[in-house]
Amino acid sequence: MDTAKVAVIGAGISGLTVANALSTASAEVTLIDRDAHPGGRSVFYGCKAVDTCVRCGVCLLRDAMSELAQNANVNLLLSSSPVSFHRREDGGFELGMQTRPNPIDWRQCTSCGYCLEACPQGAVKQIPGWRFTIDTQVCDECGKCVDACPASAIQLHREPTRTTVDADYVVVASGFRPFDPAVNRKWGYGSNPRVIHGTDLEHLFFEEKYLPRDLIEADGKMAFIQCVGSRNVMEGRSGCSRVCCAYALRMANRIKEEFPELQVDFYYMDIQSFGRNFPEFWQDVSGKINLIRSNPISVKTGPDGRPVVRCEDPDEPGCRESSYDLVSLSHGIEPEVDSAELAELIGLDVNADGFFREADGVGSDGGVFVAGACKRPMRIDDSVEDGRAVSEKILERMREASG
Amino acid sequence: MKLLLLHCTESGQKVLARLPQIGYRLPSTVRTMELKCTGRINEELLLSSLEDGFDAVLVVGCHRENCRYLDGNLRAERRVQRIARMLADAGVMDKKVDMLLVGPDEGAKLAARIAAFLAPGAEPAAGAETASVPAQSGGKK
Amino acid sequence: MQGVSVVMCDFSCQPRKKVDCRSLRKELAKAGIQVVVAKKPCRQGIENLDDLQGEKVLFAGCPLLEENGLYGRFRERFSAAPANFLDLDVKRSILDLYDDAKSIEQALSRSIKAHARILEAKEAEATETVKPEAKVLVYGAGYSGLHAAAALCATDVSVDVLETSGPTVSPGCLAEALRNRDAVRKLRAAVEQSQNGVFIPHRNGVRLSALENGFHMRTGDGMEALYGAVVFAPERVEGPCAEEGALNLSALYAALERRQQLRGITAFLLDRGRPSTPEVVRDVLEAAKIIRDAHRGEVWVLLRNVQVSLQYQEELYGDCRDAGVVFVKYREDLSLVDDYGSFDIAGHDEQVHTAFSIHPDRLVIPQIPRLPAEAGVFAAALKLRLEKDEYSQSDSLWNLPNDTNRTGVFAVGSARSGMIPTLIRQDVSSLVAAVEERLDPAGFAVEENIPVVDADKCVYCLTCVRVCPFGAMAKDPEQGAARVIASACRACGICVAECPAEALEVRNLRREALFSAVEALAEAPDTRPPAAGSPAAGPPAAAPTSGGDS
Repeated sequence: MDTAKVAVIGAGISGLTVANALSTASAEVTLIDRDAHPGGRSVFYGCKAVDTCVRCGVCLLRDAMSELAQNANVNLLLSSSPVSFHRREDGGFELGMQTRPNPIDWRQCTSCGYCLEACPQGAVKQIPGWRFTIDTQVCDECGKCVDACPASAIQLHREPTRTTVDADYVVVASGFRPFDPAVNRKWGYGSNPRVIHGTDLEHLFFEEKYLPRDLIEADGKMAFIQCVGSRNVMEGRSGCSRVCCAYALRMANRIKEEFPELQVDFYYMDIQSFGRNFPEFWQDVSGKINLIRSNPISVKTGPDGRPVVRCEDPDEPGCRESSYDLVSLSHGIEPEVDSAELAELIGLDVNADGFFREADGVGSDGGVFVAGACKRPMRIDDSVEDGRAVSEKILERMREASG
Repeated sequence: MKLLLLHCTESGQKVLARLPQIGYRLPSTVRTMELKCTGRINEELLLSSLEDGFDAVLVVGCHRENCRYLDGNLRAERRVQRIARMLADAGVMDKKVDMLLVGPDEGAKLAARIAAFLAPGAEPAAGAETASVPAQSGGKK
Repeated sequence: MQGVSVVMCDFSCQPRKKVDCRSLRKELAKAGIQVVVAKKPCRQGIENLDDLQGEKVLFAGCPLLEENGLYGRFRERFSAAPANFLDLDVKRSILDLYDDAKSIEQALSRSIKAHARILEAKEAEATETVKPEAKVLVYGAGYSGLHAAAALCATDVSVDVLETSGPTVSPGCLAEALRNRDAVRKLRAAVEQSQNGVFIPHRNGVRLSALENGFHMRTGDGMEALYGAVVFAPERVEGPCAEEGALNLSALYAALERRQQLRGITAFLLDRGRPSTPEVVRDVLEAAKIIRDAHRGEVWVLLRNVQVSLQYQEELYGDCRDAGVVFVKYREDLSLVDDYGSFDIAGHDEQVHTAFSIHPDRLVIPQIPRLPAEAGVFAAALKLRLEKDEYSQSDSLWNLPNDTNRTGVFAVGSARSGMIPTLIRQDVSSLVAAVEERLDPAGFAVEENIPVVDADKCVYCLTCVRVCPFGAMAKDPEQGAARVIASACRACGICVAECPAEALEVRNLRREALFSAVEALAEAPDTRPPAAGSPAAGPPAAAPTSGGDS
């Protein structure tokens, strides 16, 4: 096969899977991400195993990141977004990319960490399995990091650049956005610090804290609320987000392991089964948590400052109110903020929920593929399977093209 | 107190790389040795390590059902348990063996266990929990 | 100590650099070790690699080389030649180098020498390449197997399909098979009509043995063939209901296929005893809708959880409700009374908090699908690790999507996980990629450091054969010893640990080398006094977080 060029938009788990799978000698892959690091959102998620793997998939991502680090055939274009998209007459594509380079040049960074020590604002972030980046929203440009860096990798003002990426095939793997519970005051997110969401909890898991220890004691009381932003026509998302039962139950299981005296209430409508060992897992976890089959009406703040969950009482007519030290809203998956623009730019169809329709390089699309959670909610293991399937479809096209 | 960390290439090596990221530096009395899989460890190695001068051996491997080689970590668990029992039965109080199952990010878990080993008078868990080794041939487990 | 070279970082990134590379180089040179100092290898790579004279190469540097994956890249570069990484001791020493440079250098040079001694004891290896036979055996001529076979035939590889007497469709695909009655037949025709697809009847058993370049099969009819890859794709079958008179899902679909009139009340009972899987629920919903639309019978679906995470399942529930299907979320107190083949079901509906009771003419209770006995025997012959509920792929993340515990054996479709047709089509795509990779005409390289059997020591107990998770050990009756199937071995070392006769050795870490390495570690001096249990916060370090309990 001649060397085919593939542009992968999005370096999250599915983009990484596609890039790693295709970057054999017969494909030259350009992996693009708007962030200053690869790995997407799940790079900040944490392992949920309690000595036995629960298949959360976070280690799959770590593996994909190390594979990327050792992969010479992948051309990584970070801090970049496509601004133009042009189909050539010969069937190939030209993507105009705009790059806003991060102050830290990842090619020079040796991960020594001096910049993190030097920064008084906390603007320097260490990306797991990667290097350091600077959050320009937080940075006040004092320049202490520039002085501290022994590799001279930091320059506070970098000029945006424009490049063109040529590709025979394009894979859109731009991922998802978690539902923001702050848009609906009833959840109390943002107004009460004791109300957090699933992604906040994931970050706590990654840091191995498992709970915000300043808000809740080991024998405190917490609640998980499922279906926040999912299965709710009024919130604009009638579909199931597929990932939330899985992550919340796994996290509840891990939290109970760490804090056996903690009371965990689990508010749900239905439980979506996941994985091949679900019956055993469910048997195990359902005995440790207090299942309340009711979708809460609101999370208000009580007179003592603690959140109060109000719901329809599942057992008796009427409502019930319970007060907690911590409430975790299991928020769901939505299309990315800019997915409509990206769809228009590339010419992708979008379904009623705003996700991209499957494009398998056939018909008028010819050459554009879609992988991962940008087409429908999926877990990390689903994303890996999807990425592999999309890679094969491209390999098939490459085989046909070379005759 | 000299501690030998026998770890696998998968989780073991990754979790050691995580330690500097959480601000933990391995004390100089901790020595590490990498193996492809903890399944490579046998009782002889554990005992001879203790004889060579290590006061404790901590085997660091992957979570159950996450071993790349399927049951290497389960075998290591069983072996470590066996040696821990032998040492306890023989009344050996100043030598310890234990196994820790970790994922690639669980640096704090490892750091805590190492600290527990090195703190004077610490009694680490007497061997890991009972693991089940799957049937050798195909068919139902 | 001839033949060992050390490539060392110059540590110039550390502003308080204290490692005197020059004097270290002199000392090591005295011991006959070539030292090459590399400038900033983490950024600039290493230029003077071709100058290395040693047959064995050691890299010495700080943990950053590990974290950035640079060691991995060097491994690639040196994959043709023996290489090793001086990690561990040296890394620990480097972190302490700000405290006592001189003793660090001594420890460094001592551990480099110790490591070099270990390397000397190792044998050089050549990298073997195995070219597998370009032929695939597909076990299972059902929906999954035929999809896989048809897709593989389209890639010009030679495919033999081993026919089975099991069902052609598993739960999850029953509705599709009903809608599209020709689906299986068309797939079969696609395979038959392709130049490279052949059906083999599975009578009188098969015997399989693993060879270097594939699997050798001999059928009871005397047919023999060699396959580079095996695809295990049986369909799973539902057992009968424990309740006499109740139907399982397959029996209901058989009735629908016969166009049997299903009037009266049909009740589906899900989630009894254990949660139903989403693909079974899909088939239940489709059947419910058909019975309402086409047969105008009354349909009740009794469940505990509404499974909506599969694509389009939410819409299907909606369609069923629109068609008049009654959904009941029942509580644990459901009572099912079997009255000589007719049933009384009573309980409480959790959604509307009312009691309900029905007397259905037809009760459908989906059963957990299992592998047919024949498929189980084939799996056992292949030493495949099955999962609980007889999924034909053990539930490890590292097997995703189509790998099994045996190299060269793949699992696809309904037998590896509950699937609906769209998922099977996707699964077949990734299977084709995996098989293509396996059958690459350029061959694949055998793992480094696979074990070697010492035939003199081997007592032929075949513990290694039983113990190998990957089926990579086999009998060698002529030698009276075990033999390694190099192409299947993953070099984990489990057999080495298990062999009671110590007849197995892994090439890069022989027993003596392993023990002496540990001894060297124990003897290496402490390079600084232990810091009374508290973690030091020297560079490189992020701000201390919850890590490092003291």
